[in-house]
Amino acid sequence: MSSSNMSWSLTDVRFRHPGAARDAINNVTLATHAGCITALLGPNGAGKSTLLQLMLGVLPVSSGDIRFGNRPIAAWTRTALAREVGVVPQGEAEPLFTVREMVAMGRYPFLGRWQRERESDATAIAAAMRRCSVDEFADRRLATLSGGERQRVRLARALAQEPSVLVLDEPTTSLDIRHEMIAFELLRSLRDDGVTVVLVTHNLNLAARYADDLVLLHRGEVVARGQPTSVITTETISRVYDWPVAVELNADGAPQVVPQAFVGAST
Amino acid sequence: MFFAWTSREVAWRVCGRVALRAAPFVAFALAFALASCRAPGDSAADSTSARRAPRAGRGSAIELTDDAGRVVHLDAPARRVISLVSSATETLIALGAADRIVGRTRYDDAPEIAAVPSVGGGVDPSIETIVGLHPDLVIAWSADKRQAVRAKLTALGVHVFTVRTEDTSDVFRGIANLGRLTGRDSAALRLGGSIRGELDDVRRSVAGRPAPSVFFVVFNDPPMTAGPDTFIGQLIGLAGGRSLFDDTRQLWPNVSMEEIVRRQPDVVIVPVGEFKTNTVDYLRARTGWRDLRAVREGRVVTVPANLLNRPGANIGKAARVLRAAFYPEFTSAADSANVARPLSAPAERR
Amino acid sequence: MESTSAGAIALPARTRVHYGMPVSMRLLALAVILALALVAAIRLGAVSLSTTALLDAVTGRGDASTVAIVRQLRMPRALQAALVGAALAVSGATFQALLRNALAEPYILGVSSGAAFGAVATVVTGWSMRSVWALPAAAFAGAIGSMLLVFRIAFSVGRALDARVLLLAGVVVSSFLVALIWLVLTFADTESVRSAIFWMMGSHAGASWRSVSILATCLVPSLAVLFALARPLNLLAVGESTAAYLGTNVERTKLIAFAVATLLAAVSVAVSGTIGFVGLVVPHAMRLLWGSDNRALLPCAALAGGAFLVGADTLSRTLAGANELPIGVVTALIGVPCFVWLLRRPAAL
Repeated sequence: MSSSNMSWSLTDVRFRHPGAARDAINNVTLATHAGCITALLGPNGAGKSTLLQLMLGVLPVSSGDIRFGNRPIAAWTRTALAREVGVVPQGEAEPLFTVREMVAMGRYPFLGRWQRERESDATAIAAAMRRCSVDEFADRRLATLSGGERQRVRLARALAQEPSVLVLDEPTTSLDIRHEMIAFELLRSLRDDGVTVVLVTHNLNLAARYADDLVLLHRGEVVARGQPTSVITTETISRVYDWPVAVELNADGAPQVVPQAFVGAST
Repeated sequence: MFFAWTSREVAWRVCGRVALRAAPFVAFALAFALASCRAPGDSAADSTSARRAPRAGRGSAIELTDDAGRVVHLDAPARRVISLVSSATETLIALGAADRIVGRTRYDDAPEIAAVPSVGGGVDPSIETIVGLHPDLVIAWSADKRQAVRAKLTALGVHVFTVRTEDTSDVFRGIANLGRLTGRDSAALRLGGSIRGELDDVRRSVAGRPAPSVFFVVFNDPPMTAGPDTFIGQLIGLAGGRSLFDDTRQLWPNVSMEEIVRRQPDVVIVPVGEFKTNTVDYLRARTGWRDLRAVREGRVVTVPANLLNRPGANIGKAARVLRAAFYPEFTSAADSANVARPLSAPAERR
Repeated sequence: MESTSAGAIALPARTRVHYGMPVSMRLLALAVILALALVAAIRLGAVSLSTTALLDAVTGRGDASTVAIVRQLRMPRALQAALVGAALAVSGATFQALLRNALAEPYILGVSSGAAFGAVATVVTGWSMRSVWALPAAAFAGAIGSMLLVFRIAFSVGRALDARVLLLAGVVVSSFLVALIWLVLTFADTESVRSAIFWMMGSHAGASWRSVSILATCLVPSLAVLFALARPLNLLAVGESTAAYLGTNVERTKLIAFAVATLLAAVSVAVSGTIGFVGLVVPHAMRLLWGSDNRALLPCAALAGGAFLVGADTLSRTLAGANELPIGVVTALIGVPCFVWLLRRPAAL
């Protein structure tokens, strides 16, 4: 997986869902950095997933400009984009595919319509499965796996694309502590290998520990941007999430959010 | 529901779906029963087009226009005939041509052709069984809307003559046509004459009598009867009755129970032997039916279904049976087996 | 989880999944079964034939009526059953992938009710009496018409082709057409009702070399298109956004696949009426046996669907002598126990 200059630059991006009263994304200007872990944060409905879909070109912007690798995102064919960007989306159906068949789908963008899998594809698939520790149940059907195992299979499929950029939409939702930590450790090791990582997450504390760059969205706008210590502050988080929090620093210096019991309810 | 893919769920949903799919077939089966309980109807097109073609000039060759308006040409009278139409089969037997019949349908029960092989149903026969019997003539329904059987047999070089089976004129034309096709014109002439004589006798015998209103039960739920333009409607009129629904123009109308109760027939005729539910017990048990005065007072008459649903050589007998149903004094020894009044005894006791 | 550095790993064994049998062996086995079914279909029937008589008849020698039975009745009928079975199974597999719904089947976009409406219209108006081709042509037109109506409704609701909207549009258009059919039949004469019902029950009795050639002409390019879409169909079966992220032009792929799968169903229903069960259950059976990968599933379903319908048709015209059983009865009576057995195998998942 090669390090490259594959990153996004968004300029004055607006998006409104058809028939909606207000913009879901309001005047966002943003540039992601190659070789970093960027975390998109924000409360429910802040526009994180919408922004991700705009960046991936599956939603059209209402106005503004999104460029990826210095080309307008609309100029990318889906295949060309899939050769650069691996995505771990939310909410997939689970047909009776085996783990290997699912991971092998990561090679589809590299194969012609009638082309058979090459030796190099098999190698990439095997490496991705091993890296996500799903190789031991390669022949099992997805329906027989646990939620955490399936999530690892999806990650392996994205890694089989050998992407320069990895995009993940709430990858650790529904994972327990161990599997969540394993996932974040894996993202860090991928970053160390030169992969650019962009993820949407609700876990502020792990984002603060693992991400290099935080983008805090609120009502479709970027309200804070930068290093964890500058974004995760008592004042900002309490205001954006509309709940009193305390922010402490943990042993390795990352800010950690501790929600407070709500006292003195004014309503 | 859109993302359910585990096998167990597939199993349950597929099973449910299969059950759901069966539901329309139950409805179809019911409608099929309705549809097949009578001889087929017609289309306006072929009711007028059927007439005899001009005679072929030479030898024993036969050229005849069938009831769908198609000219059928035979080099000689047919010697190997398969009839897909039960009434035509009975006519052929009455013409003395039973030995010409090499195939019948599963519905034909005449003893003369009991040994003849079946070719299946009348509108869904096994074509290859027919071809394997080497017929030189196949009699088929003119009203088969799909035309698949006729087209297929014609393409295989089998002569197909289609017949209409709705009213009494179809019966007489059918007798004449079948007589020509089998080279038995004189027998056909005699048979036609004797049936006309039988019908005239019946008509004369009831002249001047008060006409009872008659409900003929083609099917009981939903109620279906015979319209005045069917051979049954015509025979009811000829035998001195008046169809309760003589104002309809449909051949086999579905009528509402409410309307039957409102009109109160003098006599209810139940053909028995075709449907299990067409029984007097059923009528006596069901609301609507049991509220009819004719049912309460024992004026329900059962007749054999096969006699009254095949417009062929037996319509003279059918007319006499109907006459006996309307006027008990006409019940002769010969007809008494065919006319029963199952409700009259208990009603008299009351 | 070990975090080894990527790229430097070569697993000793290529972990290709076989489910006990490689794809080529599966296809070969199914092709042999199909061939045996075709031979049985031509061999068996109401008129029994010796092997030599059969061979003579196939080559056009011997008794004229035997030749006619074999070459004009049995051969086109067996081939039509094979083609319809293949078309319905592939169509069903495609719909199940596209809609991510286990209950999807070839008639899901209103094809069967549209075709039935066309058929009933020709029967009631009497056009079916004028030409043998009037009824299949009208059935085909009705099937395509109802599909276009379903697409029109689905497109007018959302900006893109939403599978759920499409499914619902199919259901409501279908219900509407069925209501129209019953409305028309309520006022139709009994013979029209009977003809319509016989048509709706489905049968291969009307097969001819012409119908076989029309079917084959539609089927071969359609199957080629769907086989070419096997990988995108795999992705769509997982999810539409997944498919987009893995290089698929989702809207175009869906439109082509829906249209081709519907065309297959429409041609089938036009020549043989509505034959249920094959399009629903054969793809599921193949999936339970050998998994969801459409590159193997589609050709397997084509061969298995063809063999299944040829076998069912042969039984329908031999089990009760000259009395032909409705083919839907046979497909369900044989198919359901087989399918339940497949489901109950411990290895089903």
